[in-house]
Amino acid sequence: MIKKLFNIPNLLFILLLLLIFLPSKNQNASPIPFLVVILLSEAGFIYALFRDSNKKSTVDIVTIIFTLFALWEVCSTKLAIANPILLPPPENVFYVFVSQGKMMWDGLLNSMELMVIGFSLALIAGVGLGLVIGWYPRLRNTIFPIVKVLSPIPSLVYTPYLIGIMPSFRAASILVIFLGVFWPNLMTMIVFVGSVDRKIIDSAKSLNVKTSTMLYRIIFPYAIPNLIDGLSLGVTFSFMTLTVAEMIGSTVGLGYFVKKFADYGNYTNVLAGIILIGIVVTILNVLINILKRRAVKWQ
Amino acid sequence: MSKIELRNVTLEYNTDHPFLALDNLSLNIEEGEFVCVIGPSGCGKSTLLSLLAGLNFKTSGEVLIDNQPVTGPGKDRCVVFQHYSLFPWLTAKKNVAFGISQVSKKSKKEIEKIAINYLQKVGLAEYTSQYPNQLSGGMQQRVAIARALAMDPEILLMDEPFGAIDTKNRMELQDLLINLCRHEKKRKTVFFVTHDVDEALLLANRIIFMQPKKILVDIKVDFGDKTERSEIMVSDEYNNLRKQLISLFYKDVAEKIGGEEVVL
Repeated sequence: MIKKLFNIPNLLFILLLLLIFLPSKNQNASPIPFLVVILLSEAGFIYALFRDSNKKSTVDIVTIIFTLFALWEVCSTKLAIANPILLPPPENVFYVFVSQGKMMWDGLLNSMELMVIGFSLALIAGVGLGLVIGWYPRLRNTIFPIVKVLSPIPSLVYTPYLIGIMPSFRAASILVIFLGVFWPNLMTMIVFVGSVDRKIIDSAKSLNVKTSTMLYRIIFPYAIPNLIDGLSLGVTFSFMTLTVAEMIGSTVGLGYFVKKFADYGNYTNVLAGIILIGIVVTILNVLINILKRRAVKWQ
Repeated sequence: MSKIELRNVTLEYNTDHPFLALDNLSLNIEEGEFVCVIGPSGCGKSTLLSLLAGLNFKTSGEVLIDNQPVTGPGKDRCVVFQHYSLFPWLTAKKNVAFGISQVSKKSKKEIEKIAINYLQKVGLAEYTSQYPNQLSGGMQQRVAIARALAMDPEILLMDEPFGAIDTKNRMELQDLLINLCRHEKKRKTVFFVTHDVDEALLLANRIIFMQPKKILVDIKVDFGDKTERSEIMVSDEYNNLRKQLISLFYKDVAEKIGGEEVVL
């Protein structure tokens, strides 16, 4: 038990605690939020350690995180060798989550709302149309070449144009997310329908299924593992697109939060915004993994 | 009127290299017959089955079931394949229920009841909520058979259903199939493709030996009142028929190698 706890991350953890309570320069915000972050990381680490102590990667990852924290703390507040504007102390950065909490939360909700709408519409449309187009050879042969041209164009490229032509920023960003997710989804689905194992199709056909049953009760469930694999990439990508869109044309949202404070040179808030975006993307991916374990029990 | 009737059927696969799979083949199968089709691989026996299943189409000739031309799969037929008959994302029970729901308008509860009942008949009462990948190959085929019987088709088409199963399990499944077919209210017409001579002799009351593209021999099988595997397999009729069929395989091999005097 004691031996298990004696490792580099825990030594770094103690070092970090000492560093926080040592006198500092440049730091003018309460250290409590930063302390909470460190304690949460440590709690998560210990939980992971006792659940599966053979995982070397857990130790390595936490070592890297704590080393970065310690370096950041030392450079910015202890030795004060970093420029305090370009590299603000971690205490100040994490305090932004308290001082700007309301604005961040509102921005987060706004971004999430746009994303959920755009993403689900794209998913439904991409999968629904992809199944039909993939199934009928004539449709596939006509539409697939067109999709192949359109789908690799990054939606980031036409973001400024869409913001220009759409009536509101809201509509524009939903469209940006929609297009970013729709094309790859449509393409994957068309390809998937063509590549479904003949034996599965024959087995279904021999049971007398209607075409709609074939598409939505045979090919669709068979495609779910594939779809969920793509989902993780899709979520990350669409969140990326959205934040960029918000930086260009919005007055709310996480992208706007970062852009606004970057314009004022308030890098403390900018760093906090970047960290928040990182956390959000991570949480989304964790949720998708949970979904995958729940939805695909048969593999 | 025969249950199944093929008149001068020719089938040519229209791929890059056109391939003649069936050549001017005619065959009548009566209602209630258990027909086993054997022959060397590539002789067209599975093609013949897919034609009856409505998954493949003739190039010329006529394929009739109950005097009606086959235009596609139908409610009167069910197929059990060697692999992948089951849908991997459905449990055993739901696989069977899915099949039933395609041919019957009963309520969901009733369908589930029928599904469980048939799974019991094939000895899988305790495995109803397992997914196919949690079941052994033999169990998966039991589920496939349960599904086919639960759909209550008039014609059962089986494409080497026990081909990938070990000997002991295969024997169990053969006995199971014999029993199930005997106990059906109305005798089903079965079209069973295999490459195992013993399996054919045991199951069939008629054996068709195919040579590439056509039927070579058509024999009736009757062991009188013997019903048990152990009785049948030691009888003279059985061993004579077996020798006859095996010699057909040898003949085929000899022709392929190109000499008459091949010692095997």
